[in-house]
Amino acid sequence: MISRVAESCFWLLRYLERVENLARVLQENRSFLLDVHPAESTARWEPIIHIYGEQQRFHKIMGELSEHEESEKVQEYFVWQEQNRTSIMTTLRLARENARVVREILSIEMWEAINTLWLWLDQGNGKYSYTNNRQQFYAHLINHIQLFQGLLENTIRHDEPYAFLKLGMYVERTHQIARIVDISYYTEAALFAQEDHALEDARWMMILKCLCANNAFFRETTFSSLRRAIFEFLFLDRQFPRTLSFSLRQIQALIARLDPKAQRLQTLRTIDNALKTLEEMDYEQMDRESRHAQVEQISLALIESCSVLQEEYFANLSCKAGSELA
Amino acid sequence: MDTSTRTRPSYGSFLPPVSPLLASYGQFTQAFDEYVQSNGCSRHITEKVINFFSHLSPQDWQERQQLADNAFKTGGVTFTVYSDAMGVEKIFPFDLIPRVIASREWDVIERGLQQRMQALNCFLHDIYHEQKILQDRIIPSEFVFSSTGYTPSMHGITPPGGVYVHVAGIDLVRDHTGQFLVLEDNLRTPSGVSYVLANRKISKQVLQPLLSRLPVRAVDHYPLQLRQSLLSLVPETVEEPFAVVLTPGDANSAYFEHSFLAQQLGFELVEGQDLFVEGKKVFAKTTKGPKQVHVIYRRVDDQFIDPEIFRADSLLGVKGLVSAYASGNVVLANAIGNGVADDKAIFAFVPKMIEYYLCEHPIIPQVETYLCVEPQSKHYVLQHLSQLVVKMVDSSGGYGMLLGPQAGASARAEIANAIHENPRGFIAQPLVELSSCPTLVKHPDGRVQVEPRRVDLRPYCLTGQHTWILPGGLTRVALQPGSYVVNSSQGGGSKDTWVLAGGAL
Repeated sequence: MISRVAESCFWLLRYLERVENLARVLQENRSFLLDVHPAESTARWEPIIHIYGEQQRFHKIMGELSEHEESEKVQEYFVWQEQNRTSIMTTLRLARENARVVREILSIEMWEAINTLWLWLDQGNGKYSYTNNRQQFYAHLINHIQLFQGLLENTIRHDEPYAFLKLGMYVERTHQIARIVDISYYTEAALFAQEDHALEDARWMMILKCLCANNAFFRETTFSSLRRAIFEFLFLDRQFPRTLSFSLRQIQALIARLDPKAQRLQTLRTIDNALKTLEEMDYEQMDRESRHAQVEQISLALIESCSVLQEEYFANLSCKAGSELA
Repeated sequence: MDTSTRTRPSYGSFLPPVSPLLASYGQFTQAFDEYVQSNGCSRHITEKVINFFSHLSPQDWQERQQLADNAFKTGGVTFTVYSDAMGVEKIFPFDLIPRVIASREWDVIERGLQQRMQALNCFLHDIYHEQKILQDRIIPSEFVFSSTGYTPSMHGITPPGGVYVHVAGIDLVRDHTGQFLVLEDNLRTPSGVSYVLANRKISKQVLQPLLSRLPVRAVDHYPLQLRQSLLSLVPETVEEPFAVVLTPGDANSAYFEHSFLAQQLGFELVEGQDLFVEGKKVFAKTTKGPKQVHVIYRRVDDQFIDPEIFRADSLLGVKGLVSAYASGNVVLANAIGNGVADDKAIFAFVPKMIEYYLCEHPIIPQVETYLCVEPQSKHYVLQHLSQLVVKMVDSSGGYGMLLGPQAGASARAEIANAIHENPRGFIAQPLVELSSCPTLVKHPDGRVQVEPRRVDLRPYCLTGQHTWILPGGLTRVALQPGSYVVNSSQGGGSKDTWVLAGGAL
């Protein structure tokens, strides 16, 4: 497979996974705030701005906000704002651009699914839905990305391009899980002084929902501390597809498939390290600060494995030591 | 007023019953109409089509048109217009009413194109080898050597299988008598075939009842034919040939087509940066290391294909590609240097080529061409600018063309100057009254009506071991009333082309 095309496949699914998670985070945070009404702004939308690292740019572009306009402004920023490189609009455009570049790899159904979704968002229908039925707007995005993922499973061969597409999906997912779990860190900071445990628990429940993990968690877990149990579940559960452990293992398996003779060891090594870090953590003793520190540590490990992956698979490096030339 | 755009009413041609959209159809007085005879009666081959459309209510008709437009949009069947810094993706407007060609007419076109392809291929081989046609003074050698498409570095190189023109798009027009004429040859990187396939796909969706009643010849097997004809040129010693489509990139106007064809052919779609040459062999940079490439269906122009030989600043090409090609290690479709044969001045000599190489008379006549480089012709052209179409010899896509009858005085003066400065750079042809075809037109005021619009036809010719002609081709339609310009980049649209199977008519 052409390296450049492999890279576009990888990014296509990364961007889609990013949009899906962002849509769900906005949807769930909106719904969360309709149930509970935290007085502190830092407990409302600030955590979302924080986990995506957008504090500075957000306030620069959107200015100071009153409590009453906050919710709309934040959603506008994360959905439509073109200057926000992580907004749904920008990210879906990039996803569609990558799909256009590699459309000969995709099935016609996959291409039409993503193109239709993009046209929906870009040409008015999305805006209409956003204005008239916000919940439906987010649901539309999420459903159509999941349609694409279903088509990915069922309309192309599970060969190399497939592996790169899935790799992009799981790499992005690990990043997203780490970020989403960290919402708790910023919320708890606000609530620390007030000792509002009910609100804290509600926040943790919202985190579960952001990762579609609500049902799975309660079916499989008994716990004494809700927070610790959720944290542990989202990090360590091996059966649920939106946990760090699950995603990292998928990445491991995909790389083993792409590189059966294990000639490109760097990527695999960084993933192994991340998994090891994950499994060796002391989950018993964790408080707010140490959880945050663990999230940071995992994030750094992921960033490292991505840059290694880039070098080993997409850079022209792969063309230096070819068997056919020798 | 230009008389040719004046229309006369057709009496009773669409009876009965008459759709309100068809009732007021009036053809151009000077042009051959594909649907209606000069006496106002419909042509026999189009009766079933007219009957079908007559039964459509205006709403139904527009709904079907809408369905087709949406299918192009969601399918991303687009081309890019470079009107500003950022390319804009546009849909090539598709008109529902098909263009119908009778089987006996098509037989002549098919034979004529096969003959033409054979002669052009002989010419290219000759020019890059013995140059007999020049020694025998059939074509003045200065014409060939001064052509921008003439590529001396191709001299002595015989491409695999001796094939130069693997894919050709020959533009045909129909004059006022209904006679098909060759307007120009496209032998470098002709585009548009993806629209032929996309149009048929849509027709099958929205005109299904009509298609099921007419023996329309299929076009879907084009990619398979192309695949076979390209792979047939790979030496048999290669067990698993690796074939690619080379595109200039996703900013290119025809990127959709490149990617569509790659998908249909089952070839990898690559850019220049994905390939490299080592030991006179071409390799692709893959995730598993270099992989040798045996066939390149390239959609990158000669000038950009190898910075070692052509433009050194090209980022689109592959350094050393020509050396690999010269060593016979890769099939390049089309061959390098074909531009000399579709130079619009050389075009004037194609009938002579057919006689010289094949000892035959041309089956399809061609549009008369005045070479500005010949003093007498130049004089004539300058005297008659208001009646002629002036074209640059090496341009395509309708760029740099002057339509004398419609041009203003200043544009004519400008082209006269340009001809004086570089006579070899221009040719002129009489303005052919292109045939017209009923087309659904939406006026700015919202009125919807069927009106005549001018069309041309680009059949696609594939050559591997043999030459094969796709039955049909791209019918382009000038959407502006009275306009003669059908190019997609100049506001043209397209129609599905229905060639009826033999025996039908």
